[in-house]
This record gives sequence, structure tokens and C-alpha cells, in this order.
Amino acid sequence: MDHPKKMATPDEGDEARTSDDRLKDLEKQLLEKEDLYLRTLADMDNYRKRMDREIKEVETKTRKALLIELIEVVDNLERAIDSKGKCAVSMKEGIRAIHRQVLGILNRYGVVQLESLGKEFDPRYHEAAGMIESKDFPAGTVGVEMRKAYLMGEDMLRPAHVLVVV
Amino acid sequence: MAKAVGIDLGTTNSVVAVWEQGKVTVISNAEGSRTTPSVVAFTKDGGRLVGQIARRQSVINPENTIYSSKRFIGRKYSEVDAESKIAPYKVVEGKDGVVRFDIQGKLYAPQEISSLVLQKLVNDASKYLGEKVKDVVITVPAYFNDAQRQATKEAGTIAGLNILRIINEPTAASLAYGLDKKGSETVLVFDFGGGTFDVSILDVGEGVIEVRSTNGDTHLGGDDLDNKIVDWMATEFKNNYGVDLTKDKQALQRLYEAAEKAKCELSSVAETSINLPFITADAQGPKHLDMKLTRAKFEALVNDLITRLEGPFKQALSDAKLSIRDIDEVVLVGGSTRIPAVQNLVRSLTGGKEPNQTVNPDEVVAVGAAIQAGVLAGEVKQVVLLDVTPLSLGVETMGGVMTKIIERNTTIPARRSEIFSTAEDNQPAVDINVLQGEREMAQDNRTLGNFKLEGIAPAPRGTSQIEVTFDIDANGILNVGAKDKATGKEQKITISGSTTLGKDEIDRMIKDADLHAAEDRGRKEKVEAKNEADGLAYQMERQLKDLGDRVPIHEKARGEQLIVDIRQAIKDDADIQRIKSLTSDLQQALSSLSSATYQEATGGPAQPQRPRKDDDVVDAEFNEK
Repeated sequence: MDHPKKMATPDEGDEARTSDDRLKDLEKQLLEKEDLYLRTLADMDNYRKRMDREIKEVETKTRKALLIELIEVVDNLERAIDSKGKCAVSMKEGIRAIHRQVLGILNRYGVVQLESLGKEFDPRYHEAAGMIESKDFPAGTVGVEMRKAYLMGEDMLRPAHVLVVV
Repeated sequence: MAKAVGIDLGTTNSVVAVWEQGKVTVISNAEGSRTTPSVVAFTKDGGRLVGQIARRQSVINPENTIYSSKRFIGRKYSEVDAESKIAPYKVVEGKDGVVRFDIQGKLYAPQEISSLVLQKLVNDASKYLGEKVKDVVITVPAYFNDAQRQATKEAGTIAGLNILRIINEPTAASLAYGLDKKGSETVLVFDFGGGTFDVSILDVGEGVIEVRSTNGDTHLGGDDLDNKIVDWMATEFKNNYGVDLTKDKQALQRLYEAAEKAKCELSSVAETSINLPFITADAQGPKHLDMKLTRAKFEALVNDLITRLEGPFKQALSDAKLSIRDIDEVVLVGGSTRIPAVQNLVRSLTGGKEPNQTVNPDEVVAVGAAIQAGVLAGEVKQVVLLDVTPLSLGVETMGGVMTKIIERNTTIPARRSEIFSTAEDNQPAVDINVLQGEREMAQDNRTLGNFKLEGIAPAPRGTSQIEVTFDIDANGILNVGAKDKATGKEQKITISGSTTLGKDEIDRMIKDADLHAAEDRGRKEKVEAKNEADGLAYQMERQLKDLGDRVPIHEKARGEQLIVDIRQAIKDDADIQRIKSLTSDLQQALSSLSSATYQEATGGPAQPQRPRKDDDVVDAEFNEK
């Protein structure tokens, strides 16, 4: 039987609802994509910023690594200066001059020595290698400075190695 | 969305990593280091120190500095007798027989100590990522029982974290290498770190990883190797100078540092020198330590320790009821696996299998944990897998050179444009030959297609601006367009399948390019020299024409002669030296013309003339491959 009118009404309604649903669905999809797009852009932007920061950090790190090795040479120059034994005065003077020269180079890179002897032990700057008895310094302070601490600007380049007074 | 991180909560050191942008990043702590000592200290004034700073004061505050709390977590007091005896801090029995640390009369659970380490790691990660991190995946040794896992979870909860999952360390290491995606396999994870040694055998497949067996030595690590070097140095020194360096704290400290450095160096070189000037002094004056340590000597020194790795390995294999042949993959974890002797041992124990070791062995567990965290937080699924162009794409330019527009390994979709010009006066058309490959010369690469842009507005050579655009969409479909900026005339082609080459073919093309690199460079150099010479000859010709009678007759004659010579040299394909010397003569002549007073403003400098000459156009038909 043909009931075109009857048949058509629900059909039209279905169609209307379907296209309405479809529209809503597409709207939703569009919003999701828009959101995803903005997030991706933001992620990219943040990533770029972090990379810029990281490149600087890598640069500083590389420089620090080299400076730390140079500081080890300074350690040895200081050991030579402090050493007792037969050595011409002029030779010691020469070593002192080299020592000043290297410290000058370090200074130009913003590297400074930190005096620890007699200061209160502070794990931010000091690494304890052991304890020691002392008449010169009170308990809890640095009694022996085995190697000096160095700072580069605000950054700890390397902590001092110390013996702490019992 | 909040990011989830993976944490390798280690016995001596901990590492935190995050999955983002489709890859894992290991996060540096506030002190700038990628590993954080798992050490917590309580100071006399009631402060708490965590990490490197806590370790620095451990010697003077041993009873209040907790390290290796992992050895105690989730265990009964009665189980940890051996560990308690060697710990410098007080380990006591709490209620119901649990382990507690007695710090200045206050009792702490091991999970409280671990929570402080976790907190530092997560705080530093939050700072790095610029957002608060709450969700974490934490790894534990495969041999951890339920109580130990539960206690580790509690540590996370105390730290205010949301534990997405606790996973096994060897599982994490396998995830870091993507072994879970390779189908059914048996994986052996060899973990030799700073203080512990673990060997685990896993069944991996279909996204499920199961531990078949595990064995190890909880007190064997890289530090033991350092001690062997220190002993050797001290003994040698004593034999030579009669001074015992181990009695001198200062000297001993220097020996330990030098030993670790030497050990690390010997992983990449066969011999290292240990140089410690002014190590000590006696009545005769200062003494210096200056020794050489070869890799062979080092291996002899640590041989007994390396041999101790064999037992647990064999035990794990027999517990898993497997033979060497059943192992498909080997994964190396822990800094000590960088030592060639350790790697050789692993190779010989696994029947010559080449171990996976491309991921930093100190970080591989955290990397795997971060991948797991990414999966659980939905990050990994959310990431749209972006493809790359396997080979470079470009066009043929003057002299048959391949000019790359999109470099190989560029993530797609991508769009790049470049401006080219004409090689002839009033050139009416350019031929765009779209190429794919890594070779320098067009003829050695694959032609993907070509087309002709016609109707270019008449202009002197080098002044037309033709914009060539390569646009490759996410499906690898390449659109190449060329547009004359003066007339707006445009022509384009679409090439599909530019990324669908077989892996073998791509590898072959890349290898070919490497193989012919030197010879290709030579050919390209020559073409470039010829192009430059040709461009200068053209410039000279124009100058002479523009200046007319103002140019003294002898200069004009010289210029004309040079033009003839250079064109002849190009035509004869003369050697590059001759072309270069003629070019430099011509350059001189040109500059003296320009600097002379009769010079007036003429046309601007020549533009690069890259698209090939129109008279080379032979094959204009569309040619998609």
C-alpha cells in the first residue's frame, strides 16, 4: 500500500533529527579539533621556550665542566706553593705567578674561590670527608680545607672538601 | 593535561623522566644533575636535607643520614639483620615487628624516608615542566614482594602523589627499548649499578610482560670496582715510596676520585694516566703519584668481582628453565655495564648476543617508567604518530644540480618555499624537475615528476622571481607549485607515494649518497664554479654595454676577451682550476670597472640563477613515478 504522506512525515522528522545530530556531532568534533590544535600550538611554544633555556644550560654545563678541570690544576698549583722541601725561591715565585694567572682567567669567567676554613660547616658549600680535633676552631666549623669551593656567579661549581671540627 | 612522570627510585640514586612530545626527557634536579642520591639527612637544628646535599654531610652526621632506605622498605625487622649491622644509623624494631629508623629519638618508617626522596624528585620535575606533577609510575626490583611494593606505594602516597602503577625495573628497561611491541620474546635484563646487581628473565609479548626469574647480589656494584683501583694505587705507592696513603684522609679522598675517573675513562680508552701531584710529603720533600692504568690491568684487578656476576646469571637462567639459546634480547642497565669487560662477559654468557645499550644505562629504567606513565595518562595514545620524509625532496637547478627544498627526516606535514630565477634574458619558461634522493647531482636521484611553468614575463636573466613551493601533507602526498611573481602565473603537480618507498630502497639510496659523497661534491663544486663564471661573464657583458663609450678602449678589450675565454672554458668543460682563475680575473676586471669614476648606477647585482636554462628543456611531459 502506498501512503506517501503518512510515510513521509516520520521520514522527514528522522531526516531532520539526523542532520541535527550530525551538525551537533560535527560541531563537537570541530571544537575538539580546535582544542587539540591550540594545545599543540601551546605545546610547541612551550617546547621551544624550554629548548631555548636548555641550549643555554648545555652551554653553561659544557663551560662548567672545562672550568672544573682547570680548577684541578689550580689545586695542584696551590699544593706546589704550600709544599715544603728544597726549592729555589725564584721557582716558587714563578709558580705563584702562574697561580695568579690561572685565577685571573677563572675570574674573567665569573669564577671565585670561597674561603671555608673556620666557617660553620654548610653542606651547600662543603663536602665533609671526615672529622678532626682542633684547638683553633670551634666544633662544627671547618677545621681543615682539603680543597677549596668555587662559585660561578650564584652557582656552585664544586663544593669544598673539608674536615669538620669535632 | 597534567603530565605524568616515571621515577626510578634506586638504592643509591634516583632518576625522574617525563614523556612529552612523543619522546622521553630525563629531568635534571634543582642542582642541575640528572641523578639524585637517594639520601635523606636530619640536621641538628631540625632541618631535612635530601639528595646531594644530604650526602655531603653524611660523614659528620652518620647516625642521622639515611641512605639505602630501599633495602629496608616493606620488610620485617627480623629479615634485615645483616643490613642493620652495616648501617651507621639506628635501625630498630617498631610495632608488629616492622623496621623503623631511630633519628634522635624519633621513629621513621623507611617509606617516610623514600617519600622525601620522591617529593624532591617530583618538585624538581614540576619546576622543570612548569606545572604541578601528581601522577607517577614508580619502579621496584623484580624480586620485591607484596609488602615491599605496598610500602613503596605508601611512600608515594605520603609524598602526596597519585601512584598510577608500580612496575618492575627490568620491565621498565624493556619498555624503554620498545621490546613489548616486538611480539613474543624472552628478554634478559642485566642490571649492574653502583651498589647492586640484578639479573632478570622476562617473557614479553602482546603488551604483557611477565618476570620468569630473577637473581642477583644485593651488595655488588661499581663502588667495589673503585675500591680495587684505590687498593692497587695505595699498594704500588707504598712499595715505591714507603708511604701508606690510606692513612691520610686527604690523600685517600683524592685516590677515590681518581679511581672513579680512571674506571670511567677505561670504558672508552685502553690506557689512562692517574696524576696526583703533591699527594704526600716526607723528609725528602713532596711526593707525586703518577701511574698508568691499562684496561687489561684494570680487568685483572676486578676479575674476581666480574666473575661473581656469573653465578646469579646462571641461576636465573636455570630458575626460568631456559637455556642460552632461548634468550632473544639482552638489555643492559646500570652504569657499570659500560665497562667493556662486563659487556664481554654478558656477550659470552648469552652466546654472543649483542645487547641493547643505546639508552643511557643509568636512565633506562626511568625512561621506561616515563613511557608507562605516558601510556597510563593517555599521553602516548593522544600523540598523533607523525611521519617523516625518508629522503630529501628538491628540484633540478642550473647545471644539473639537485637543490633540496625539503630535507630528509623532516616531520610531515611540511611546507617549504624557495625563490628561484631565470638563467637567460627573457627566458619564457622554466622546467621544474621534482627530485627525490640524497645525491648532489639531479641525474643520480629519482625523478618524481616534472612540469613547465610558461609565460614568464620577459626580464633580464636573474631578475624574475619564481617561487617554488613544496607541500607534503600528512599522508605523504606531495604538491609542487611554481609561480611567477611578476605575472602571477602558476603551475603545479601532485605526486602521491613519495614516502612509500621500501625500507631497503631508502637504505640503499642513503648508502649510495654516502658512498659517492666525495665524488658528488667534486661534481657539484665544478657546476657551481661554472655557474658563477657564467653569471660574471653575463654581468661583464651588461656592464660594457651599459657604459658604452665611457669605458677606456683597453679595458673594454680586456673585458671582452675575458668573456670569450670564460665561455670557451665552460663550453670545453675545462678543469675547475682554469675556470676559477678566469673567474677571479673577471672579478678583478669587473670591480675595477665599478670603482672607476665613469661608473653610473646600473642594474642591481645579479640574483642567483638556479633553475636550469630553458634550452635544456626536453621533457616537458608530466611524468609521475
